[in-house]
Amino acid sequence: MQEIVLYIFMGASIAAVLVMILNRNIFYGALALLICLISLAGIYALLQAEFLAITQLLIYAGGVLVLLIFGIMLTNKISGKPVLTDSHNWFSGIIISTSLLGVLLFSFQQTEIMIAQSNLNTTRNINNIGIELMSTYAAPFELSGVLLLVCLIGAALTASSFKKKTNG
Amino acid sequence: MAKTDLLFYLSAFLFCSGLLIIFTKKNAIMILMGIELMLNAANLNLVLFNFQKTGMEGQFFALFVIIVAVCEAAVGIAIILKTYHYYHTSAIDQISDLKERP
Amino acid sequence: MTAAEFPSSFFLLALILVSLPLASACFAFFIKDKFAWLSPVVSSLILLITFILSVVLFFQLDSQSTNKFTVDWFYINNKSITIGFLLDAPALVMLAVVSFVSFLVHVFSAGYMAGDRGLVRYFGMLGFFTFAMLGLVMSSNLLLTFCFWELVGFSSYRLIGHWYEKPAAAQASTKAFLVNKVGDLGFLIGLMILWSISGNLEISSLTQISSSWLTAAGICIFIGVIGKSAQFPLFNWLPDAMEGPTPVSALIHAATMVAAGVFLLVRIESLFTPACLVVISVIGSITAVAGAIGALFQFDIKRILAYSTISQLGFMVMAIGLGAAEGGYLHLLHHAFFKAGLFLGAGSVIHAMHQAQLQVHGALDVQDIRNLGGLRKKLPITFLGFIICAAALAGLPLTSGFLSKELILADMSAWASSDISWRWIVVGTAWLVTFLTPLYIFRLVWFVFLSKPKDEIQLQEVPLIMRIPVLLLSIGAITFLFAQASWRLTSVIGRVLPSSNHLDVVTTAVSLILISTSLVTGYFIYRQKKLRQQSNLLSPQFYLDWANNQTIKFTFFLSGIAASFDRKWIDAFIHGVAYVQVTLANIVGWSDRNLVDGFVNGTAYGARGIGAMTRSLANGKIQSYLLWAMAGLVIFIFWILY
Repeated sequence: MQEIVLYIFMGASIAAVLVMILNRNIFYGALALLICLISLAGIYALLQAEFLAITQLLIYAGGVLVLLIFGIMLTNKISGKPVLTDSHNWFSGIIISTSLLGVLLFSFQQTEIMIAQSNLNTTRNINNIGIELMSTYAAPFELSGVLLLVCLIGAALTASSFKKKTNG
Repeated sequence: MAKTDLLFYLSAFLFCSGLLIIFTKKNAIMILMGIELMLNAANLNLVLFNFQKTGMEGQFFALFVIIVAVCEAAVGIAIILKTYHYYHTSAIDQISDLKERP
Repeated sequence: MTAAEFPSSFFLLALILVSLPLASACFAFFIKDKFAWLSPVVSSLILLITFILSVVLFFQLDSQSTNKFTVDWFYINNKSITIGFLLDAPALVMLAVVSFVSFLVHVFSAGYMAGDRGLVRYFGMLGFFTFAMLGLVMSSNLLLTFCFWELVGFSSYRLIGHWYEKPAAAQASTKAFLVNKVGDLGFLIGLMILWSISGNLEISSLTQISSSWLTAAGICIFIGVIGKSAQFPLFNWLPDAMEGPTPVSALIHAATMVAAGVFLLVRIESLFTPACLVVISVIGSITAVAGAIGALFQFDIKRILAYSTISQLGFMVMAIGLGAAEGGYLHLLHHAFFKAGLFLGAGSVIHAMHQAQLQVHGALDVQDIRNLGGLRKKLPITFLGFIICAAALAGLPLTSGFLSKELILADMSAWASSDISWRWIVVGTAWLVTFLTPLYIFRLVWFVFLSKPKDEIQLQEVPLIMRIPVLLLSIGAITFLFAQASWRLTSVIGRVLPSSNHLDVVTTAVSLILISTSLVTGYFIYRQKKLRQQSNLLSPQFYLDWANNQTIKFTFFLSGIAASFDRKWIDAFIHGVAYVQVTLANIVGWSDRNLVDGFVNGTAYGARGIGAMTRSLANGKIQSYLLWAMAGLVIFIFWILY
């Protein structure tokens, strides 16, 4: 059962990615990304990383995508026609991507990954995450807070347009 | 599950397709989406390793990656907006001020 | 110092002798115009001193041990050319004759050329000529003789062209010079041949030469004599040379310069092979006949005398060719006297007629004998001198001309009787000349002096200064009559010309018959005094001038061919080379422009292309940057892992 769900999520993400690559409509690309992220969240959940799956859904699907769609709206003249982009560099892009894919796949094949069986039994995942977050990973936690703050301010400043005070 | 090995291939595929999107798409927002895709592929990889090893470092790493990705997406959007206002276009290949003049 | 020590007064005297006329020439040339009247006097005096010195030298000859004095002049290839004096008896006698005649001509010219604008120049050249002639006579080396030969020719040129404003005079002087030059070329070639076969040009050593080239050398030197002494192919300058003043004609073209050739022949007599002598005698006889025929049909006094000179010179040269060198030399000496006397007499006639013309403002050609006549009564002294000299020319007995001519004819008979051959032709021509000579001179004397005058012209006798030289020269024409009795002169002649000749009675009788026959013939022909119009056909000079013109035309034709050949072939070849060169240069230029520059430019384009290619990496497009970065990364991973 779980495998089937897994395959469904995998297929969905692959399909979404293909849509993203091949379709010229930006909006469809954004929606495809949404589906991909959601299916990824599902995969996370199946991999017993529930907190991460929720976080993924919340942040990515709810925040970043919205942000991206806002960006789409703001950077294109909306005139009722679908916003299409061209694409180029197919040849060299495919070569490099394919070669990198080949490298990665080949290296994946070469490694033997041991599966630790003891990890299969974790019940209070979120509890542990909270505890670890405040103890072991407190510094990155605080730093990420600072980072978020800085990015917030920075993005706000960057995106706004200052009108220079003209003398006279 | 033994079939989780396939997820490796998935993450590799996602990563490379994200790369491809970055290479080929002309719109800046699409490139940003490609970046997000790559980050997510890395996240998947991390979670996968977390699943297959003891300890929870993978999840935390993935969590922080999400945070950083969000920040970067926000700032990226801001930059794109600014460049769009400046150049009046959102096609990357038309922004070539750094081109080497003969 | 090869011969005697220099301080010998004999040679010192000779040196002074030869430099005196040169001093006279310098005096004349450097004198101021104010004192121009002085020059005839001074020159004549100097020449008198020269004559006295030459006589002194002659009498000193007995007491000398050697008559040769030489000094080394320069060296060619270890062989030396020497210059110096060779003062044997023939030379000294000739010296005396030359200086005497020159002195008399100076005196005569003082009267004849009085009032002439170029008087100073005239006396200067006269002195220079005498200097050159004396040097020629005295020189011991053929090269030095040649130098003086040339100087004599040059002075003749200047003197003939004394009145250079007259175009006829200028042309005549140039013609004389050029024809002489042709002869001098032969002389020079002869000298070169002599030098190459013997290495020595001393006159005294000529007897020791024997070589197969000797004939050629002799003939070449004889060519020089042909030019100078007006022999057969080269005599057409002498009649034209009469454009010069009459004293000049007397000195140069009767007595001295033309005699230089004959003198040279006498000097180098030992050089001539029998073949040479044949050539010499033939040419001499041809000349004698041509001259005599020419003289018979001319109307100008001076031209008649010029042709007569040619004829007599031919006679002398023929004599030398026959082997009668003694007779030839003697005739040369006698000819100097009576021919100079004839010329100066003619000069007196011309002068007197000129003076008369000036008074009546007439315009006759005074030299044309058809306009003259009956001057016997008007110019008695001149007539006396003239007729004595004319008798000597004709060879009448009791004159010196008779003596020398008989010597020649006697030797000629002896020579011809050795075998019956072409020699009798030469003998025949000699007899013909003997017949013609009295004829033409009788004609001249008859028409100028003896016949009735055409119109009555008041003539005055010429000044004393002009009469005296004529008389003195005529004395010279008869003095030698007493040669048999005058022991002094016979011993002189005996020493000069060792021979044992005597007068051949038969020959003498024949010549006497011929002379009297011609005189009678002349009387009967010219009694009527009808002279035909002069026709050019009977003037030998006319034929030679025509031959010269044809030669010149032929030379121009040849040079025209050479010029057109040069233009067509050589110039075309050079043009062709130039074209090829220009074409090559164009090719080189093209290849330089296109290949070399193209190579350089191509390198630059290549560099720019490669630069552009590499620059295209930095095209400002982020995605391409990323592409290249990832490509590098992938390659790096490949390389690391595998």
